[in-house]
Amino acid sequence: MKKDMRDPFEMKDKTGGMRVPTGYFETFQLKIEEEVNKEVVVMPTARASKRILPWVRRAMYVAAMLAGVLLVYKNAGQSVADETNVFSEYALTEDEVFSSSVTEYDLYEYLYAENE
Amino acid sequence: MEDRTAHDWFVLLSSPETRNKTFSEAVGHFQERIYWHIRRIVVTHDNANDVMQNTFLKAWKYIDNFRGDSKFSTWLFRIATNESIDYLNGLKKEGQYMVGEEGAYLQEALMADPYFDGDALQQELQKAILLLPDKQRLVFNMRYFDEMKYDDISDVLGVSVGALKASYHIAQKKIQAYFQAEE
Repeated sequence: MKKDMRDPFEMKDKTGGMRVPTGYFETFQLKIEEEVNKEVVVMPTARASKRILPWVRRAMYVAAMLAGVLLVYKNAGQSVADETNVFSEYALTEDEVFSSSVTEYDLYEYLYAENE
Repeated sequence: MEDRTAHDWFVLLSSPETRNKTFSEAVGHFQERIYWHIRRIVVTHDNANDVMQNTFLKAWKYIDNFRGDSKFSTWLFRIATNESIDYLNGLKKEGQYMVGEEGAYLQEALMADPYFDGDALQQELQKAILLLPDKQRLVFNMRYFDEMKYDDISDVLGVSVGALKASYHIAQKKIQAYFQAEE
């Protein structure tokens, strides 16, 4: 085989024997331009009210539940107090009945009899 | 477009009105140089095509990071270099080749690439280049094939000009030694 006497550092063809497909650079530029000019699609973000509404609903539900529970407790307490009040009212009424039926004269008579 | 300064690029790419058009122009202007830079690192056209897309899409995504401190082309070359190295590391992770076998893998891939039809000398030169350590290979390709200035290579790779000259010199010597051994 005949030896290639050319100096490898003096080659005029700087591609070094590498090629590219025909029209590669034209196509490549168009492809990149397409990417670059692609509109950035911004996903519409939900309005603040729409994002907050579910949480408000949940909070309202929990608040209603708590209010219900408190009301039950309050009512239970109220009935106990009511019963107590009935007794005290009764006692007051008895005293009133007693005091209204005792005259000053009866009282003196009672004290006098006790001293004797 | 060649006479646009880094600041001009920065101004045009910063404004929402001119950004898209300027970037498209930049793709058209720099794509060939960037392609060949990538191709010499990843060797086959299919690999280079993947890395090209990654490079320009990443550049577009992070366009706000370009502050005009360096040339726009240097900024693009830096992204392309990093993307190419990441791509090869990805192949290594996938188990396409083992540590230390990169040169042999790339030689084989190049010979099998339908978009490589180099003559005997070009094939030998590519083989010799692919046997170089990564950094020397990078420097040699950028200097010899891309004909970049040392200052620009220094900006892209973040290596001093002195170290680059030494790297290139060593790479040249190794390639010469490869050819002498072949004779």
